[in-house]
Amino acid sequence: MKFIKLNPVTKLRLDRFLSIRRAKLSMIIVVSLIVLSLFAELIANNKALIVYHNGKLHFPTYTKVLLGTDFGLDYKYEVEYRELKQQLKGSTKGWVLMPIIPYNQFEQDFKDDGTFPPYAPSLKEGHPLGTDRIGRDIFARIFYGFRIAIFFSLAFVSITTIFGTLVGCLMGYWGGKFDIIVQRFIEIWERIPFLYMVMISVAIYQPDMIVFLIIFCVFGWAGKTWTVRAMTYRERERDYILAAKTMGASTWRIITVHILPNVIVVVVTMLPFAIAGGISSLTALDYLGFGLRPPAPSWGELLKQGIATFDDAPWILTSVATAMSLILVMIAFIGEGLREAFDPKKYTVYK
Amino acid sequence: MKMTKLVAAMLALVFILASCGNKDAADGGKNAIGKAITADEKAMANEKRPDFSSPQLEDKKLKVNGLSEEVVWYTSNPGIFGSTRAKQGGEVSIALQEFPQTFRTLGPNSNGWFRSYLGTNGGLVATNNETKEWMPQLATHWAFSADKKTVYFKLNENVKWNDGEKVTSEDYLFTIEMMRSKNIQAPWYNDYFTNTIVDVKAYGDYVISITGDVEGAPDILLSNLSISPRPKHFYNGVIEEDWVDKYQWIYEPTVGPYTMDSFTKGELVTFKKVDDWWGYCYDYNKYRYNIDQINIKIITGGRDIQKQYFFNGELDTYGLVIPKDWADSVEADPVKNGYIDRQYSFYEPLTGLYGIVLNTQKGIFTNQDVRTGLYYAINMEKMIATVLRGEYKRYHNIGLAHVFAGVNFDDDSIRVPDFDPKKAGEFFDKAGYTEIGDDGIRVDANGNRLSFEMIYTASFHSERLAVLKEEAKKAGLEILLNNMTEGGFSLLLDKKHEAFFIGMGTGSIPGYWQYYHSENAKEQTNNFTMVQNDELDNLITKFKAEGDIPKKAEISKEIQRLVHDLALVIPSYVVPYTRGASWKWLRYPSWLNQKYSDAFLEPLANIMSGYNGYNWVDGDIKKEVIQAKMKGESFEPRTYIDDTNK
Repeated sequence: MKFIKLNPVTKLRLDRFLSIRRAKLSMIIVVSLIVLSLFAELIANNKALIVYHNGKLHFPTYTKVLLGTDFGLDYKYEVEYRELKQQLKGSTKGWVLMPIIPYNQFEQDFKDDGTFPPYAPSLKEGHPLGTDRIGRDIFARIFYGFRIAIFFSLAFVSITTIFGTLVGCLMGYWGGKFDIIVQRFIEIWERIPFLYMVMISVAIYQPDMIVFLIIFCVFGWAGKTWTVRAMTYRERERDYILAAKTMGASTWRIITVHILPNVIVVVVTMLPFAIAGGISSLTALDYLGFGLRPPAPSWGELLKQGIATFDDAPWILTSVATAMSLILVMIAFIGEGLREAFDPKKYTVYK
Repeated sequence: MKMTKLVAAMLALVFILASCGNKDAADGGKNAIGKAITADEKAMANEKRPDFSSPQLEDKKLKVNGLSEEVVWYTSNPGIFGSTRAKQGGEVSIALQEFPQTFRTLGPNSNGWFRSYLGTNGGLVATNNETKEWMPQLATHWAFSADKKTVYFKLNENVKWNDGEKVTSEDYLFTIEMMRSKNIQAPWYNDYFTNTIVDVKAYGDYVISITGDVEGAPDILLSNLSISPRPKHFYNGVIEEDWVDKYQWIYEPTVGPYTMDSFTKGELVTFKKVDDWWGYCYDYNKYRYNIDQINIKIITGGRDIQKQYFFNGELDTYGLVIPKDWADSVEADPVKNGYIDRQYSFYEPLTGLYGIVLNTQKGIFTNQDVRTGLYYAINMEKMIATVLRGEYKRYHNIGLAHVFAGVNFDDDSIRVPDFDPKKAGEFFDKAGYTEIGDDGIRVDANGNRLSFEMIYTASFHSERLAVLKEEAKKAGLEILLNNMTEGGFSLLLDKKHEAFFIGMGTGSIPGYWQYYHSENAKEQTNNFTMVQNDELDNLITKFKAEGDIPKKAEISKEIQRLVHDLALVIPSYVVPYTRGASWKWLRYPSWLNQKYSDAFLEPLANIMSGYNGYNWVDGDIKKEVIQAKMKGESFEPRTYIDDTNK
């Protein structure tokens, strides 16, 4: 911590947070999972990590697609690296290093022996959690699905929180007619059932990811304003705000520099729960068939499939249910830790 | 380490949950012996496939006075089709995905699946589902005018509406009036009953004549002009302006063997057998329509949920056409224990437009070479071999089994080429998509990607289409899948699609005008490919006007060949069988199914089309099965296969 100058209050809060072991542990795991998921292509993919062929090294993961003809094969589409690996085995021409899971989230692995997926978990086959109904690797789908869900949720929560907090602050700070009008509007807006509205919009517009996120945000920001508004109302009457006003500070400066740091506590403690909520909503919508377009990997779709095939393929539901509960529980732990760390009963300091 | 404990406990819970599925199967139950079951299975083994033939005969005895010309009356005498093993009575329950939006059979929202349960009036004549010959139904005899435009029908005097009133020629005159009325809000019927059916005349209470717009061979006339009556007395002879609203939830009497008894919105519709049904005056109806009561249960939540209801005994029969469903059903406890029998029957699948329709006025498909390349870039064979487990058959054309009056209207020599990314690449090169982009998808000189969006409505098709998507990458082609359960079809009618995965029904004579004529290359029509081709237009016009059956069939084949050459449709698959499972007490004839019928499990739908209603409930067997189930005993599992028409 020597390199970063921390505000003493923040430092106290951080120390308090880190002293809660399960929160600390959850934080480490979740953050590393998020970071790892950014490199999912290196973990579960049908593209090799490194190919050494005829004296040349290739790193196909993030580069231009390499065709069969590039390796002296007779087809002009993407090299099938798993086959290439088999072919190069034992030869001196080169070698292929595959990721731990040599399948991506879309590929269908059908065996030629007359059996049909879902295939049971097997490390030998490269499917540690088995496959789904059309032979797609469950681990890859869960992992890529996690990436989509968490980043979707993070984006959703950041947008709605920033917007909601801003509107809440303005309502509290300006008060008067602005407050009354926006309050009434939000009261009406909030009564519109969030999930139903998303479902209806999705059924009509068949959105892509960005529009989907916008629909989520449009119907999701209103609830984030209330607490901030109430806190701002309280703060704006305090002497330090009056002092700032008399010194000629602008509204923007007062809100961002003086009020926000004091009301942010509530927002921050709500964040993890909002993220968990975002993940659950997305999963629920996918489960109901109103979510992301197939064949996008999604937890909701896996849950649906898992329930339908539970009798003959219990690994699908088991894997995805476990993954989802673990993530949601860990996020809840983080939230709990944050709440304790920011508990004003412990350190009440006004700026 | 509270958290570790918690996590461990949760994991344990999940695994316990996972492991307790399916463990309560009664594996050790001893074999039960049912007297009634053994007897009926023996009788079934000895049951022969009946003679279904019904050749058209001249009836010289029939004399009708007052006709404007001398005519020759025809009829046919089909024998007994039903199984003599059949028992009367009992009730069965079947599932429906959603409650109907209306009880009308005409007008807005009336074209759902439920309509097949309502519109059970049949036609003046019926088609024999084994031989495609004509059989008497609401009319006992038919005759043709000298000018080849009119058919005379001698009505069956026994026919009654379900409310007891007799069906007379008045009802047919009223039918025309009703079908032409703007108040029913059904433009297609308005058009058909104005332009295809030009006139209906009555000659006394039980003889009518119906006149069509063009000259035609007798079979074509019968096929076009054999209409169903509407009850005049029920509407007091008037179709009011608010007909659509007023009759939204009112059940119109039919002449079928079942009539709607009661319903609970959103849950259940019950149909009951009509007392002393008139239809038994024909031999071919004997031993059919044996079940007293049919409950249609509304079970939402998709096929997986419905299947569970069936295996729990809340439904008596369930279709298992999808390969995975059929394969999995062997493992279901009631099947293993022999409480549920499985039935599997092959038939000639009458198939129309089935596959991916390409919008020739959108995106990459404006280019003929791209469309032809698609033949090679869509790996339908792999989809069939994997997800469909090799049980469906590859489809090559836009028509199959259109056999009419003994003439085949389909060019069965048309073959769609096999998947071949190299060959596809040649066509895509020709179309200008020569470069392979960084992500492996082809682009043309202007940077346009070789990519299209495919819309489909059934969510369970996602798995099938995912195979096509992955395989298409090998040809440098990108497919974006878009499942639109709601709104998909209206988007198709607005012609906003690039490609659509579709299956359309068809009649005995294929219809080309609505699908491929340039006049329909606009919104709200069935020309989904938006094709505008003069040669095709000429052929279709010729096809419509041709009254000679063999000549008509030849033009039909030319049209199919041209549609193939233009690569408007990538045909998908045909299902050459129908199959399902039924609780043991729901019995079937040994021969299960007729050559051209696809719904032998169905006790009610389309019943007057002669398809079904051959099954029955055996009360004694039901008792035995329930007893065995309670005692935990089991029977030998049974799968009945009829491969006569394989």
